[in-house]
Formats: sequence, structure tokens, C-alpha cells
Amino acid sequence: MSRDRHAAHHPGAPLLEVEDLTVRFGRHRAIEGVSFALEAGANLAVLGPNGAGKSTLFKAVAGIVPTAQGRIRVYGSGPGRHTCIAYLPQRSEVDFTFPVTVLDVALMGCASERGVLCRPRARDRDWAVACLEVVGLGGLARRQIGELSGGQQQRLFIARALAQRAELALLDEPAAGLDLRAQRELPGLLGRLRERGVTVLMAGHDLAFARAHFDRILLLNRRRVALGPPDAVLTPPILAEAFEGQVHLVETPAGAAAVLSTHDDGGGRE
Amino acid sequence: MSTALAWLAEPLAYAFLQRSLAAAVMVAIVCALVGSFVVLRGMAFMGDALAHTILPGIAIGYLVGRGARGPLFAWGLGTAVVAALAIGAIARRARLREDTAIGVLFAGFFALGIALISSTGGYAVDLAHFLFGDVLGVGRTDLVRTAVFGLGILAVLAVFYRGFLILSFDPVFAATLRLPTRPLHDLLLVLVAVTVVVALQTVGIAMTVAMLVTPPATARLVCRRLPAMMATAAGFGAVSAVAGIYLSYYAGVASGAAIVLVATLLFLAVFGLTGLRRRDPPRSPPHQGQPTTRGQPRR
Repeated sequence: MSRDRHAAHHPGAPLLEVEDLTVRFGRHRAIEGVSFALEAGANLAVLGPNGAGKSTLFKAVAGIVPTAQGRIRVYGSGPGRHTCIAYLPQRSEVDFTFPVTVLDVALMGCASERGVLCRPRARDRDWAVACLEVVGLGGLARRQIGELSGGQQQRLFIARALAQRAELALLDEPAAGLDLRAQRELPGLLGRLRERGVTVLMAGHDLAFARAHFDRILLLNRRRVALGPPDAVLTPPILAEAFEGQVHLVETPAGAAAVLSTHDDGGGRE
Repeated sequence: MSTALAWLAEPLAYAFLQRSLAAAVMVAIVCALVGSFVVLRGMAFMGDALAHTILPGIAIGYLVGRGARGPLFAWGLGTAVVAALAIGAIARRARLREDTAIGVLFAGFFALGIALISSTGGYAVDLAHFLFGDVLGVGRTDLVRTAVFGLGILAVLAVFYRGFLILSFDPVFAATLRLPTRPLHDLLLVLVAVTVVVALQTVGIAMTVAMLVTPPATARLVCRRLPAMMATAAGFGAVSAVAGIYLSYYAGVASGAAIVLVATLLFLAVFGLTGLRRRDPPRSPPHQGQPTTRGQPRR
């Protein structure tokens, strides 16, 4: 395609700037006055209770829900024309009975380059297969997506983000609905993305996971509660504010901090 | 053997039945291909509503033309396209659930159509033709028109296939790829609307949704990829059309109803067979690669 479908990347501009962002659904304010910035290569986990606005924030950053106030800049311009942002859906949002194969889904990533009208070419096919191989799905390219395990389905969407040549991946609760073994694969997958120059923004509930695998943490409860390195943010008073008093920190004999909630209000999705 | 052949050949001696068969098969194929996206996008109710909203347009054409059949197609087509875009716009704007907005609109339009037609003398017969189809009355012009519009619909479908595929599978992803999701959605609605008008004479307003939905739903039960699903749906649709017309000829059943009944029976048969197969424990094909984490179907 000769037409440039991508918004320009201004030199020197950070990957992502969010300034005083407010998103409303009708009268309800899903998030209010949130600001943060993200340099390429930095990794940020967004944590907060259900209804804190994590998914809304991600969809605003992806440029698919309108902002009521404030602004979002991706490499210096609005997110709405960038194709370098990959939003990885929660698994519950995907219809895994849909008649597509693993390769079909990876190939969809190539549409960011080609537009809707062009058929995938041999080059696209090779690229999609290469992306599948990065996440270890090369041998399963011909499977219908419902035949994959939960962890494999997660990896498929990471492969699609790679095929899309994403520079910013928004992972919305990637651990939701995964069994323990698949959850254990997540850090490796995040590593694969980072190795390929993809900056990861992850929303989740697992404080210990975020602490172990992310440089910075944004605690969100419709407003920004705290932003900083894990040790500065995951302190009892700040957590109590973000989770409205439901959180305890527990030191295990190994020295790692595990974090528990006194009652489970987050069971709806998992 | 020869009696079976004679049984098959007998209806073909009539030119009008040849035309009916040709029209019904073409309509069934076009409906199945467009309907595959209707099924995958969860637009079955929308498709049914679109079929019903064209009745007032047809009624006005009927009144203006004083009962002439010729201009009805154009009136139906115009109304269908307007209704498709209106439903799309209202569903986006209204603070109602989409299916509620559709329900309100389609019932109102349909009532308007019936009110208009009932104000004329030939109410019962003509209304029945609009509602339930009149495939045995297909003329030469109708046949050519069906072929032309059918090919047009298939051409649009072929050009925008990938866009429709991505939009149906993951609309959020389509939006982040900056694909034109709204125009694509509206285009799909217009395609459904035009298909409904093309199918009108074969199965009628009341049963068009069956031609759009039932063969693709049947195919979805057995296919793993969209191209295969579309081809299989077209096959199921064509078989239903032919079998339905034979059923109509030999059993004296209304043709539109016969076609829909055959399609439904096919669905139930395939549903029963695949349901039985699911209950067999292993259904995993030979594995390649990735020996550690594969092949634990969840749930």
C-alpha cells in the first residue's frame, strides 16, 4: 500500500503520555484526572480493584474510547491513528469457537500494514508463522483456536501483537482464567515481547507478580493513587487507600512479600 | 432406478419450475455467504428486523404502482438500504440496548406496511406473497435480476472479506488496526438488506432470516475455518432450496416454507450428529511439536 496508514512518530517524544485523563460513560466517571508517562522500554503494571478503570484506561490509550478531558499522546500525537498499539483482550472477551485457525489469527496482525482490501501474501504468511514460532505455537498453526489450551490461547494473542509490529502492548489481566502452569509461563512471554522492543503495559490484580516483573507500578482506583517503583508503591498505607482497606502484606519465610485480600470481591472474572 | 430418475425429471419439464429452482439455488447461495457473517457477528435478529422493515416500502410501491409487480424490487431495495443505515445509526445513538431499539423499529415499520397494504382490496393474496414468497412465480426478468444482484453481492463480499472477518472476530482489534469499523459494519448491514430484497420472492419477508442464518449455523457446527464454513453453508442452502422445491411440488407444501423446513431439518440432523460425536472422549488429531503444554481442552 502506498498510502501511509500510520501516524508519524515524533523524534524525542516519549512512547506514551497521559495527562489529566478523564473518561466518562454517560454520567459515570470511569477514570478521573489520571496522568503518567511511559518511555519506550519501560514497563508498567496498572493495579487496582475491579471497577478501578484499568480496562477503560487501556481502551483510551488504544484510542478506542473517547476521552472526556485531558489528552493522550503516543509518540507525540493522538492515539487514534497509531497502529503500533496492541490491545490484548481478556480471554473471556474472545469467542474461541470462531472458525479461524491459529495462523488466521496471527495473519490478522498483518492487516495493520496491508489494510482491509489486500489479501495476505507469502511474505505475510512467513512473518505470521515466525511470530507464532516466537511464542512456541509454530507447530499448531493449523489448529482451530478452540483446540488450544488457555495458556496457548494467551500466547496466540501475543503472537498477533508481534505480527502487528506493535511497540506498545496493553495486556488486560493476562492471568485471568489461566491455570497455574499457564500463569507460570507469563513472565517468559513478557520477556519475549520486551526482547523484541515491545513495551508492556499490564493490568492485573496480582501484586506479587507485578512486583517481581515490572519496573514501575501505577495504583489506580478511578484516580491515580500512586505511581513509582514497586517497593515505594506497595506499602500498606498506599495499598489500603487503593484497595479501600482490604489488603494485608504477608512476609513469607523465603522473604518474598505475598499480598492477600481479606475477602474476595474480585471473583467475577476469574 | 428409472422411476427415481423420472421422479427427479418430472418437475424439470416445466419451464417455471426450472426458473424457480435456478432462482432458489442462487438466492440460497447468496444468503448463505452473507449469512455466515450474520451468524458470526450475532446479527440474526438484526437480519430478521431488516427483512420486516422493508414491508412499508414494498407497500408504498404496491400502492403507487396500483398492484404492478415490476417496481416492487426497486422500492424494496431503497427501503432496505435506508432501513439498514437507520438501524445502524439508531442502535449507536440510542441509550437502549441494540436489540430493544431494533425490536421497536421493526415492529412499527412492519405494522405500517400491513396497514398500507390492508387499505387496498387485494390484501390477502398479495400480502401472503410478500410475507411467504412466491418462488413458483419467478419470471425471466426476476431470474436475471437475481443473478445480477447476487453476483454484485458476492463481489462486494470478496473485496471486503478480510475486513468483515477481522471485524467479526475481534471488533476492538479491528479498531486498533485503524480499520474503518463503522463503514465496514454499515456496509455489512447494507449487504444484508440487499440480500433480503433479493431473497424476498423466494422465501418471503417472514422466512428470509432462516435462509440467512440456518445454513451458516449448520455449517458452523462442522467447519474449522471461515472459507470452509461459507462453502459448506452455500452447499446446505442449495440442497435445501432444491429439496424444498421438490417437496413443494410433490407434497403440495408452500415452497418457501418447504425450503426453510428442509434447511431446519438439515440443521437438526447435523446438530444431533455432532452432539453425539462430542460425547466421544478423545477428539484430538495427531499432535505435532510442543509436547509439554498442549491438548488439555479447558472446561
